[in-house]
Amino acid sequence: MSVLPAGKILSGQAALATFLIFACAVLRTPLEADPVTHMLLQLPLLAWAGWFLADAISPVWPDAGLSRLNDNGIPGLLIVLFAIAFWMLPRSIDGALTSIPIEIAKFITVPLLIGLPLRWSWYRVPPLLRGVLKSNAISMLGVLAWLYSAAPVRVCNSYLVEDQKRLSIAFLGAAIGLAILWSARLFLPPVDTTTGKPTKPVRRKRFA
Amino acid sequence: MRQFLTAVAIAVIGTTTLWYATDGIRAVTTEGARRVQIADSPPAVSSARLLDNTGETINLVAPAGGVALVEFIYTTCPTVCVSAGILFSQLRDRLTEEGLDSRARLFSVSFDPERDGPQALAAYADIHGIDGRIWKVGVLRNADLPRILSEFGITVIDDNFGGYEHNAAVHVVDSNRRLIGIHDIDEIPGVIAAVRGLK
Repeated sequence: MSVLPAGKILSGQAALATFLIFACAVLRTPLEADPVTHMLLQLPLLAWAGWFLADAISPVWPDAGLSRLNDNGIPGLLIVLFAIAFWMLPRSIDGALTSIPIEIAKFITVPLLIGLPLRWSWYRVPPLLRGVLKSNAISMLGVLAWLYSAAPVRVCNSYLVEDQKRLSIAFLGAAIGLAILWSARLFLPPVDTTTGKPTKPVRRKRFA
Repeated sequence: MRQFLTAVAIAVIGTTTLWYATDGIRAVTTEGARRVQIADSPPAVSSARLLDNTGETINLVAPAGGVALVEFIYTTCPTVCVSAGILFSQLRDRLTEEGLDSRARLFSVSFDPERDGPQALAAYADIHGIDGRIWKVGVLRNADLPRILSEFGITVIDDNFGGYEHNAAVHVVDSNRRLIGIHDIDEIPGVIAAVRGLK
């Protein structure tokens, strides 16, 4: 068994991931007091921590992405989608606020089952599928915005109807923001499908 | 092939997890989950004493062979409790018309002992025509408050304007102290059917 060099594990990305998780844990109370910061700040930051964690693990364990099982990225992406679906249930969010085990599960599963597998799968899935997922994410946020503003009931027992209305506006903002961001991306140089880094511009061969 | 099987395994595990997390796609909210749980196995609720609008202590109980219909309120509530009161008076009238009034007791239970003394409750009783016969209004004692709210599954949160926001519903408790149903406050036919359906 090889001993991993500590210096490699404690890379900048690992530090960043740890920092994000700790920040989310320390600032739990204020972040979770408002559904907007709970769902649109804390949860994305936790997922982001998982993404950085994957980046930190990759150099130390080159086949961490399990290419044999996840070469096309679909299995990994499925984990991400199911985990997102679970944390989109209002009762999961209520549970995280009222039950410590569910809150702990959130801090573990959002980084490890959303951010981390997303990093190891996103650039492996076909670009067309990525496009479909992006457009779906935008429309899903739009649908949620409409649902939460029109719902005749309070979806979360732990949040006010007023909060729910603000959350719907925030979802709409996020949908518009992502639409602009991802559209703008089309005007930038293409991204390498395995690394996520911009590709070097390919010079077309001219035949003299 | 290996990837395909991995994907299938993940899909199976994911679907199973979501199935359990939603009680078989029956409940996506905490409130929905509470109603599913009650339909599957009615939980017991412990006894509670209330201080009513005349300053007397009353028991929160169903008549023998009948039900207690319980809603949670606070009298300074400007919105949902007012409509809850109006709907409860309609419910009382319907029960009387249908001759079911011997089988049901209505309780408007305040969870705000700080502000809802007998005077505030008496004012509430006046507004809604609560006669104390089949419909009673009372306030929980501090000692019973957390236990009763938790047994009925009521979450009360501050609304930032000096009031509260809480899940409002009609809770049906039978004479064996089991919580056998939860209905939306405007769903009077469902409540009537629950009272009529008693053996």
